Amino acid sequence: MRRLLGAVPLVLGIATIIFFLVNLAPGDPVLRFVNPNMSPETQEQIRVNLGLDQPIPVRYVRWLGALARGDLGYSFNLNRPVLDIIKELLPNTLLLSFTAIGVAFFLGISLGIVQAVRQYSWLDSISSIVSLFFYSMPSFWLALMMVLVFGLFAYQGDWPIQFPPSDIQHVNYAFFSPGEKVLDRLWHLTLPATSLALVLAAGIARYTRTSMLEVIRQDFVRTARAKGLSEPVVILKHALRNGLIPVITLLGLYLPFLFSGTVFIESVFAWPGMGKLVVDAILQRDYPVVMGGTLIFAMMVVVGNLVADVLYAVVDPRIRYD
Amino acid sequence: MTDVGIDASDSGPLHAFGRGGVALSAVLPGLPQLMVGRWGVGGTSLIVWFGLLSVLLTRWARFAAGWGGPLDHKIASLTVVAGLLGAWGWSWFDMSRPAESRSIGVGQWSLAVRAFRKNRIAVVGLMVIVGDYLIALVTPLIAPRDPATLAPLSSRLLAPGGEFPLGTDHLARDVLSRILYGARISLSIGFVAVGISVTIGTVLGAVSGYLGGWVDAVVMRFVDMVISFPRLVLLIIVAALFSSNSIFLIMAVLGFTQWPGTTRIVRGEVLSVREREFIEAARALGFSRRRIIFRHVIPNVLAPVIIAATLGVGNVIVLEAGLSFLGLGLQPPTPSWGSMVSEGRAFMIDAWWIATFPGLAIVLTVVAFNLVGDGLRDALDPRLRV
Repeated sequence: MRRLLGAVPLVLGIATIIFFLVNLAPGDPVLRFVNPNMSPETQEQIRVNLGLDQPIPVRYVRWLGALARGDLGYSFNLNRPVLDIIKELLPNTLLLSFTAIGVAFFLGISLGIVQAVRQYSWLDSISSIVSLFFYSMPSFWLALMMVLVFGLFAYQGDWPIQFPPSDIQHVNYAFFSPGEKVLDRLWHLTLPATSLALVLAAGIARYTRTSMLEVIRQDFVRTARAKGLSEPVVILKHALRNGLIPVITLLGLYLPFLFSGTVFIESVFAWPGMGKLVVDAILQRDYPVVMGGTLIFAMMVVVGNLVADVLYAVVDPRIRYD
Repeated sequence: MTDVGIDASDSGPLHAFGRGGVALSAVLPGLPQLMVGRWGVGGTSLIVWFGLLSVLLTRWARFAAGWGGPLDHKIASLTVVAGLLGAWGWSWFDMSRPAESRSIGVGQWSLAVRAFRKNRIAVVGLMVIVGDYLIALVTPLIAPRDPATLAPLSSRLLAPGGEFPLGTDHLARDVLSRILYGARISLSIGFVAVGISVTIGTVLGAVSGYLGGWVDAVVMRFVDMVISFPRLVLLIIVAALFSSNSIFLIMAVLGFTQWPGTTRIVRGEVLSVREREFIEAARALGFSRRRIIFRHVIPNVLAPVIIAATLGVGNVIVLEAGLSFLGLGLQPPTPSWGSMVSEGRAFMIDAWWIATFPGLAIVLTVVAFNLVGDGLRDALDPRLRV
């Protein structure tokens, strides 16, 4: 609970940084609407309409006030409330990122366990090298290569495995039966989620391997074995629970990373989500959208860190928060 | 610690070669070391020697012209000479030393060097990095073509092979030459940005950890805030706002957003170092805080800083590529690996090679930095050295 309260000034601080960063930066959003035939009075009117005629401190207080009421303002370019846009696009991004995180943690943790149990085997060395390569890959390049192989070569060579290279659903999506709709969404989700998950999973596997190796050497694991417990029970029940503690930190650490991941993946796969929205808004100097979108992402990071803290306590009862 | 004395693999029968070995290393530097299994020294000097020698022989005209050419040409020619002399001298020096003198040091650093050498895959990573930087320096001599010169339009989008080993792009530019020139951009951005971030991170972390109290509280809250802030947004905002993106701007932006991780690590180390006796002694001697922090605390927390820096270079290279991919990096005529991938994306259907090869270059470089970083962690972290 105290941690929850501690997060409030943090979010407030982030909101302040975002506001001043965006508003003090050079560049004028009004210029987008200007054409050579426009009189200075009209330009001034646009400025007043957008609320940009006020001095920055006034705008800051107004923005914070609106924020407290849950109002993120009105987009300059899309002519819609920012909150509506976010409500529409956030589910897409969450679908993509949570699928990716889920797959990544499952893959990464299982691989890490196998590597730790079979330390120094050929399986361990080969998968270490392979995961290092994935770990070092820019996610946008991996995504492009996935598109190239499964979205282009697969169609050219008429392979049995083909995936759509872009978009979130089929053109005729509206006419599909419910079962087909789910399958179609999954089919479109596969490539983007895999590209994102592979890069994440490689890092998770590296962490899991290290921490499991440390745990496996400890005395209580030997005790568990001495009690006559079967190896899977020792590893999965006794060792894993302790080995996962450092891995959980990754959950908090990966959330900001996930944002950059979604920006690139959404851009490669034409996935209508928050990442693309924010990048486009920055390029068009659409201040309310930039501030709103960034704030949502920052809040997700803060919440993610809180969740990681709670999970700590669940996995390791020795840790207590008062 | 039992193996602090003379190490079996290090005290190899190098001296058995006697003067013959020294003579051999004068002709083919590195070969004698390679023959007794010291392939870290041997391989590196042999590869550098042969690589640069073949550059010298096949590009003699450019090498000779380089002295009077533009600055990067002069640097390239200078690198060839310095590299050849360096590889030769290093190998010769290494050979002519008696075997015993090579394994005397038992300090923290020489132990770490020895542990690192045993990690073969990390040594391979180090060789790749050395090779990368050499290539970046001598690019004007080895690049088949000028990266910006447009060939006749008939040679647009040519597949790899023949005259263009990695094909040509949509403006008929040679992909191989552009990747070679792009190495300079990526590597120098990685180097400078990490330099900035490590300096800020170390000083802030050390000051905050050593002083404690409200200074510590303020710095750490600030670090929390910067870490929760989506860094890419910050990068995009800054890069989008300055219309003329010079390489220095990108370096600065990446450097000034990279430090919080280092700060946290350094602070954690400083918290334990400051309780040690030698710090107490320094305090008792009445040294100023500044002197204690810079002369006594920081040198003792350098190991994790070096690890973080090495891993950070890979991180920065990927980020720079990402910015260029979004079209926010350097301006188009400058070949950067990220922008090449981005340009190639539009031509994926007709020409897969434009986007693929620069990406491979990124992966190879970043893998090398991560390998060395991992190797350094194993070598420098005594907790892992059982």
